Amino acid sequence: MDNANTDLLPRNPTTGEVLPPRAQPGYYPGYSTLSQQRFWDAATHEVVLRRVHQAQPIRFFTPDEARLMEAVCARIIPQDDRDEAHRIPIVGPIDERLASGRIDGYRYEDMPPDGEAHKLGLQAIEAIAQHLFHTPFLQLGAGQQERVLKTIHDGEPPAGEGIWRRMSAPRYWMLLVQDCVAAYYAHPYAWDEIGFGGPAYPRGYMRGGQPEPWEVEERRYEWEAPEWAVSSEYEPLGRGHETITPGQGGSH
Amino acid sequence: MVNTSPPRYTNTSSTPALQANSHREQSLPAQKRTPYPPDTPPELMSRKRPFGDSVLDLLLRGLMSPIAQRGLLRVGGWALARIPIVARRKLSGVKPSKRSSAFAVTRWRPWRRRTLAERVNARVTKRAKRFRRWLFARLPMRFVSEGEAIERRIREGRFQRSLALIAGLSGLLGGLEVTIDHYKGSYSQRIMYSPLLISPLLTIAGVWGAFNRRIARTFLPLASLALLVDGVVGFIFHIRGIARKPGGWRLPVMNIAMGPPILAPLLLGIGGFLGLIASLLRREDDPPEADKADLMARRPWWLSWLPGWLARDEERLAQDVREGRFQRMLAGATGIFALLNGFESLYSHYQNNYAYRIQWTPILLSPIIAMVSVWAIFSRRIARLALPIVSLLAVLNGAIGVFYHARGILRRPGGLKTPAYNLLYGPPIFAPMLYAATGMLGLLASLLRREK
Amino acid sequence: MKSPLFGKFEEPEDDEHWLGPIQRLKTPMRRFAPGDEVDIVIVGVGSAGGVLLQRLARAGFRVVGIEAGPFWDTERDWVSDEAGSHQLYWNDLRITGGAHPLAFGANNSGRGVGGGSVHWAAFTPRFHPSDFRVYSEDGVGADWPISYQDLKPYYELLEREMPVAGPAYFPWGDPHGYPYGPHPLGGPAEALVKGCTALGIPVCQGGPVAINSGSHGDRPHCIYRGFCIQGCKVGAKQSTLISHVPDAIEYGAEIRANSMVARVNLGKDGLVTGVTYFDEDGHEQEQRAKVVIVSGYAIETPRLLLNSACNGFEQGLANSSGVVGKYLMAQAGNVVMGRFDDPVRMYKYPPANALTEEFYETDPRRGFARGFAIQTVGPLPIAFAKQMMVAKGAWGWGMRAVMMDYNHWAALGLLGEILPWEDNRVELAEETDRYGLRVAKSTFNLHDNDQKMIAYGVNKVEEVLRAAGATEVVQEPRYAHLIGGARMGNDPSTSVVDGFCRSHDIPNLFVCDGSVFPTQGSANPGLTIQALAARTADYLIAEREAILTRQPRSMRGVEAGAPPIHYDLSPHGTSGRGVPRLKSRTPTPEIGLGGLPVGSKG
Ligand SMILES: Cc1cc2nc3c(=O)[nH]c(=O)nc-3n(C[C@H](O)[C@H](O)[C@H](O)COP(=O)(O)OP(=O)(O)OC[C@H]3O[C@@H](n4cnc5c(N)ncnc54)[C@H](O)[C@@H]3O)c2cc1C
Ligand code: SF4
Repeated sequence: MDNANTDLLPRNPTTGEVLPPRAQPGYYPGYSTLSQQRFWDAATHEVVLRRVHQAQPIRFFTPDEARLMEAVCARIIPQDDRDEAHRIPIVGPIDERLASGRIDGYRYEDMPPDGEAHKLGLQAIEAIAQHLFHTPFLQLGAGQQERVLKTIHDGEPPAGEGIWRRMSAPRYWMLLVQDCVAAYYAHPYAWDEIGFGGPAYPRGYMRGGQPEPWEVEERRYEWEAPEWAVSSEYEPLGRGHETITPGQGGSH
Repeated sequence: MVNTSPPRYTNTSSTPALQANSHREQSLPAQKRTPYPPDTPPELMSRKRPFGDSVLDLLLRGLMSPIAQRGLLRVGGWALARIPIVARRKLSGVKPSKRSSAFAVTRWRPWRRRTLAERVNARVTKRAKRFRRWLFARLPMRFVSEGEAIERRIREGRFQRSLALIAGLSGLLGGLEVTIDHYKGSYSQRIMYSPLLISPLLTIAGVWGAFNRRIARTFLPLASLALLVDGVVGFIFHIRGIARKPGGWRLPVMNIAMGPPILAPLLLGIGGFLGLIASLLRREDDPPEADKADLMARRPWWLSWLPGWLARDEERLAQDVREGRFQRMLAGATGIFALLNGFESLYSHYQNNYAYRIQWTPILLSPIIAMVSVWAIFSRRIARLALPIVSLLAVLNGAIGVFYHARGILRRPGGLKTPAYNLLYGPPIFAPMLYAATGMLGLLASLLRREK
Repeated sequence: MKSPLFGKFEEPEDDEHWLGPIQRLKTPMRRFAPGDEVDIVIVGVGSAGGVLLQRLARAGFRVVGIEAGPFWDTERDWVSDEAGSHQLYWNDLRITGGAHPLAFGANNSGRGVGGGSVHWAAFTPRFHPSDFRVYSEDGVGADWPISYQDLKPYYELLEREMPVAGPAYFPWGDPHGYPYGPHPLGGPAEALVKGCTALGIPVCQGGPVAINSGSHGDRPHCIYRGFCIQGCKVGAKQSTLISHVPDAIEYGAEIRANSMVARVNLGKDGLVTGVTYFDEDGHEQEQRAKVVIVSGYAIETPRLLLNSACNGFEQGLANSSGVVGKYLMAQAGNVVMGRFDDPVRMYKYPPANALTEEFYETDPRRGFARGFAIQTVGPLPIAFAKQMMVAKGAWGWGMRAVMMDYNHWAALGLLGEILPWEDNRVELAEETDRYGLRVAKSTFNLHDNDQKMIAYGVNKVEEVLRAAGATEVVQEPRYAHLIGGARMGNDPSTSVVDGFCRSHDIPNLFVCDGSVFPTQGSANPGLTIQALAARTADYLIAEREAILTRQPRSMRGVEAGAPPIHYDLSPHGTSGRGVPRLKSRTPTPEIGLGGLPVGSKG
């Protein structure tokens, strides 16, 4: 399975070479938000470090579901270009949210509660995998897994009608992706990857587009997703996503 | 003592000065005496004297110079200021021995091989003189004579009107800058209006003082003093402002860069300082001579407010200034202002991540100016040769800065279509002008005579 | 520097309550005895509630504010972190439906003292005079029972109290200047300015925002950290928590935090007698009052009124018209994002940074009524990832790739006026919350005019971004700012409250918050909400007699004209600050409602 492993890795598009896993992918080598933690206020420090250091035991998902969820999240936010020590837990925070019943303050009338939606969604994914490849999702190759998920992204899942009668596929898709990105991009490693400044109080900023003294200039490198990846193409969400607003903060 | 009309380039009030000088000479050890005839004007004497006072001597002279004394008086008070005087008395009471290097070096030994520094210096002096001659031969006669006239007036301290105008102008520039900067700070405290009210006062006083002798002696120093005091008050408020930013002084780099500009109020004081000096000077149209009685009559009004001992010092200072003998003081001021300016450009350019390499120039130039200015306090030669050069560089740098800052403003999003906003948040257009003003100060200092 | 000079930052002492790094809650809060009847009880200490509480306490009323969320200590409770700020929003369940369902939570409402003003971006443009006459001018929507002139003095007051930073000349609507100077521009704002100037569209830079551009008493200058929507720990951005509540407490107001009001109680005489609420420990309590003001915002206010249905008001309290919960609005808040070759780093600087209202008014050539504004937004990574999920359909490797470019994107927001429609509404769902109260269910549909406006507006924003040099432009549909649900009007059969926010049905029941707006304009509602609260307070103060003697029926109606304006009720430290500025040209009202002259200035 060695080959399979390199199969998962992004490549250099000009040479076709496989890019080895890194501690810190992204264009900001050497940049570390965690190295600035002494400049954070106590409350923020506590919240962020708890996120980094405390692994939550799985409480909401059953072990089987958790394994499946891991595999699904590994495709929604692939982390194969990160070395083992620097992967960001995704299922943990989602499970923690669902177990403690934290919601975003609303539920679509055509959706079951978030926890139930996630469980139903996993069943549906399994059903689609069986339908398309006659194999459990967990045993599919990464490319096939992506194709299973892509059907939900497109809003045209070929299997699991019973489930999709109870919830809308695009809404489930957005719930899933939102939860994954919310876990991933809340982590300091992800901030380092994208060059985000992280906590900024009491010390604020003084430079606009320029990096602050403790930030670094962008140093881009060429990379492209593995060949089998369908998620590297941007395609609009399925079924009139225009009418479905997930809504989030960060705007006026 | 009545002066007969003196020749060009000689000390106008040479007689009393000479007397004082010869008096000091007598109290000095014999070795210190120069090989010149006793009636040689001290300037000529020292101009030809080899460059070679010992460091200790230089230091003591520096400490005893009026500028240093003023500074010490203000900071440390009476006792501190007296220390060098006592020390001098003590020192001069000591019988000089041949081993005492402090005096040995200055002994005239024509057979001694001159040090490298001395030789370079002599060469440079010669070159400079030759250049001057060369230049004057080529410049139109009118220029030369005008220039010489101006130079003479400055040397003699007869430039009150021009300096008052300049002080007024710098009050105007400073006022404009602080208007903009405090607008950025939203005038969130009433005291932020104070420089806005006072700097126009200086402008009025300066311009008016240029035409009216009385105003120049009364209103001008008052307005100048007010601005100086306001600068110090502002400085304190700005320190407090930084302390009250999140993180306060625990985040000095961020909060100095983003907080109230800590040194800007002191820089605003340049105008006040110039105004004060102007108020002490003689006017361009004053006759070159001034007798003692006249001196006493023109005693600055505020001297009587000061305690006797201080007034005496101040009086001496005032007299030095009115005779154009305050090169050291002005050189010192140049140094201080250059440092303030340099620090300002350091943190404001830092805020911009030194995006352009040219942003380093004022930062690198300022310590050089400061060094040269401080050196000029001790060395006439440096004051005559190096100071004008670096000062000219500062003026040039300021001009380049104005250009780049203006370009920066135009290059901001919206450019000239949103002029007011871009003037507000673009590069500060007045800052490089202040930098150039520091250079002007240095140039002025280089033209003056030294304190007695 | 590897660590702060002189060691760790200051942290709050045990007995301290911080409202920003310098401001502390000074006085202990007054506590009314249980069972005590107070003069006025306010449900919800949010944007409107905070201002009401402060005004009424200063005027000497015995007031209690009952707030469902906590009384924040900014240093202990808030974090400088996107995911960690979840608790600032109203996260209890709401059901959302319709053809274009609204999102709530982080997207729309706050919880805790300060309410929505804790996490707003603090854009504070005024409404235009035309906003108050939408029906008369354009034949759509509704007219307000009050005019711009009625609110104008309160706009001016609140702009000083907040204080609002902005240019010395704001050209749109009723032109005016702002008390604090404008802010410098962050990346998205620079893009907006560049694009607009290239297209010849006037643009307003560095404001108007209720963010300090200069220290304001114990509230420091903004440090440009960009976490406004996560709650400004710096205390630079106004929230009523830090601007009005400290003053209210100093003047003897009480705030009961973590207490959820379950219903407003009606007495036999047809007057409300007070409220029933669940206190911190979940016990049911009653607070009697001579006047009840509901300030729970567009979803919770109708929900509370509907939940308070009782004999005589079976459809919901004060709902004889049947309008409670109807005419719910949200502004079109589409986020348009452009990718630039140069780094933008939009996490810096306040998201509210620059705007243009050039397209605010109706333009018949555009083919729809009313208009929109274009504003800056500055989504942080999680919000941006969610936006990319919709805008580009990103996920998997595509998501990772586009997020690595986070620093190259600038986001602008459309802010478009969606008209009030009867079918957009709040009702009660079958589900109940942890207190056993039925939760709200909203239904939202876009109508033809709204969709035309959004299409046109998004197009315009995309044009601006392209003109600014964006190489790729994408957009995500979204809604911002809830409005309506208990609208004001002169006709009791089509509105819930009158021009003084007093319910038509019950003379001592007031509703004062964003839910009373008949239309919403294309301006962010926060300033108008707070200004309206100040005006309502002035009315209550003018009717003090009637209130204290329990004769609310003798309170004057709108025909008696506007109440005197109290200029002396601003919080401490309001006067003596700010830049010299332009007072707007339109005169302050000489003639109030009903054509009667206005009383003297208090
Ligand atoms: C991300 C975001 C950005 C925004 N940006 C802007 C902006 O830039 N400019 C602008 O003008 N507006 C902005 N807004 C909108 C603005 O925040 C709201 O319009 C405004 O705060 C509403 O004020 P309000 O007084 O009506 O309600 P709120 O401020 O929401 O206050 C209601 C309060 O009542 C409490 N409450 C409700 N029900 C009960 C009950 N039953 N019992 C007890 N307490 C109760 C709530 O906890 C809350 O504290 C933004 C909103 C969001 C979500
Ligand atoms: S950008 Fe300014 S207003 Fe916004 S959170 Fe930071 S300090 Fe507060």
